[in-house]
Amino acid sequence: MSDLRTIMERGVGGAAPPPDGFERMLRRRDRKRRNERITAGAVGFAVFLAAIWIVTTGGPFDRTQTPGASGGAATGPTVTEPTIAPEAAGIVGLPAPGAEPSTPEHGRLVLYLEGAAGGPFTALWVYADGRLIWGDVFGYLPEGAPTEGATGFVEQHLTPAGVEFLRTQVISTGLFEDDLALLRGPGEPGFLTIRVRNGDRLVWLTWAVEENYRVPKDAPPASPEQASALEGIHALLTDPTSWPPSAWEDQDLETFVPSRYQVGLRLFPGQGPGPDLPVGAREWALLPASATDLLRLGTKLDPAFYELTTDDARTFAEALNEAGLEPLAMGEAVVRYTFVDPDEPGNSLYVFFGPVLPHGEAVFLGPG
Amino acid sequence: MIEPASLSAVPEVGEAWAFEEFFLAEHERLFQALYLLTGDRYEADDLAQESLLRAYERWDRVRVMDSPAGYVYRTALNLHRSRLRTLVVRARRVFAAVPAEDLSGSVAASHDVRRALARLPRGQREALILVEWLDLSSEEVGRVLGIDASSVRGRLHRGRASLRDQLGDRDE
Repeated sequence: MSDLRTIMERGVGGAAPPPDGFERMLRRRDRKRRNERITAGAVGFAVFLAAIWIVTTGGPFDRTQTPGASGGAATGPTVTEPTIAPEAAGIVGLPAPGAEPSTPEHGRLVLYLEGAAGGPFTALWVYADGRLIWGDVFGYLPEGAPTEGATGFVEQHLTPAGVEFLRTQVISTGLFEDDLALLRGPGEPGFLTIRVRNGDRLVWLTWAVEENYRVPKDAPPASPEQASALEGIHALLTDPTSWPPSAWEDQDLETFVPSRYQVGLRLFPGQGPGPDLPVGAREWALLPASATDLLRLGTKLDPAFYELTTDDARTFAEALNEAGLEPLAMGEAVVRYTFVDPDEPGNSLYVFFGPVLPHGEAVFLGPG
Repeated sequence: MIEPASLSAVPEVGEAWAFEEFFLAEHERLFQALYLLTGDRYEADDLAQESLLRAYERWDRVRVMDSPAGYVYRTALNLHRSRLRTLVVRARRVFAAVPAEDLSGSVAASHDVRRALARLPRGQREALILVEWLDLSSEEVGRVLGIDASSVRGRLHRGRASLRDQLGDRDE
């Protein structure tokens, strides 16, 4: 056997990081600072509103109020903070209590893009009714996205002509007659997946590096023309300023509030990327009883996968919070909890929350 | 676990050049180590970028450490663990309506090596990559992983034996 260094060199296979690493890191720092400023601004605004409220109403310090004395309690503004406190870098969580789910609840998917190609990692969905939903991946939401009560998803509204413009631009590349899987070159971003409605069906195209599970190993490499066309689609869809004004019905960015969430329980071994283990009664018993009761109220999709209303999902999350579990959120549109099985310390149970989008699919965004 | 520090420690202009030299010296090697660790270029690049950025944000303190590179490696490994990104990916394999990869087919030698590494327990994989790819000593690896050097040597021994078992036919 040759020495391990030689073996590892073979494993690396000459892979090099994408170019302009230092400049990309500086841009990353700038995005991070911007997000922090936005968050700080939102907090500052909330403090400002609270101060106004205190000054104008006496707030909680006004001892002259006698609630109930005149037939109704004095009420201040409702404080609607996300149930799940995000990590410093993240601004996502379950919708705030009382947040109205976005309407219409259901929609017909026309176009979907997720991944990267010469630009930022992006996730978006376009529906026949004109709704355009952006998903937060590493903070790549359109500028101006609201942060208060953020769910990790925002929506805008296109005209029918706008929907058709985007659809036909994608279709016109000629790559969407049939489902297609293409390999991309070493060192390129992990994947780009596009689905577009062509006739009565959604046609898939996935362009991914060999290591990515989305494409079979024997998929053909993308030709230079195909790669160029896919980069063109990504560039078009991630640059709304290049779309014609007639494409827009309403460019205002609003938080997309899902009406339902899917909750997934996954048990992972602590050592190495071995197979996922089935979630059994012992792991189920690790969940607080109040949480399992809520899961039973939902639709059981499989023994470890449930669909809940957003209210029930929030209550489920609150039950986990009360049990002392810390949520994880990383600037992605998915919230996770994790806890170690005390009887099998090598194993961890993960609870994932994925919002159900209007076409009925739950989304668990993340890289890879 | 490395806790993020305040962002106030952003380097001054003069310091940025010193950091850029450090970045250029470490970036590719770190990326390749993370590629071996994760088996995914995109993941490796993201982890490398974030861990180097964290060093940059507090460079005034990191640069006077005994091993600034060790700080970056430790941060990268902590990020890899704590962010659980690979688990998200694997969760998506379950949830996504896309066929999972077929690992039984013929694959390139480089993929064989990464797959063999991926089959090692995480602790062994981290120790092997830190020693064999990044040329750290057992003591340095112990400081990065938060374990003692004898434990590192134990992991190395088992990891090497396991890799030898997996790749032996090809290399002997």
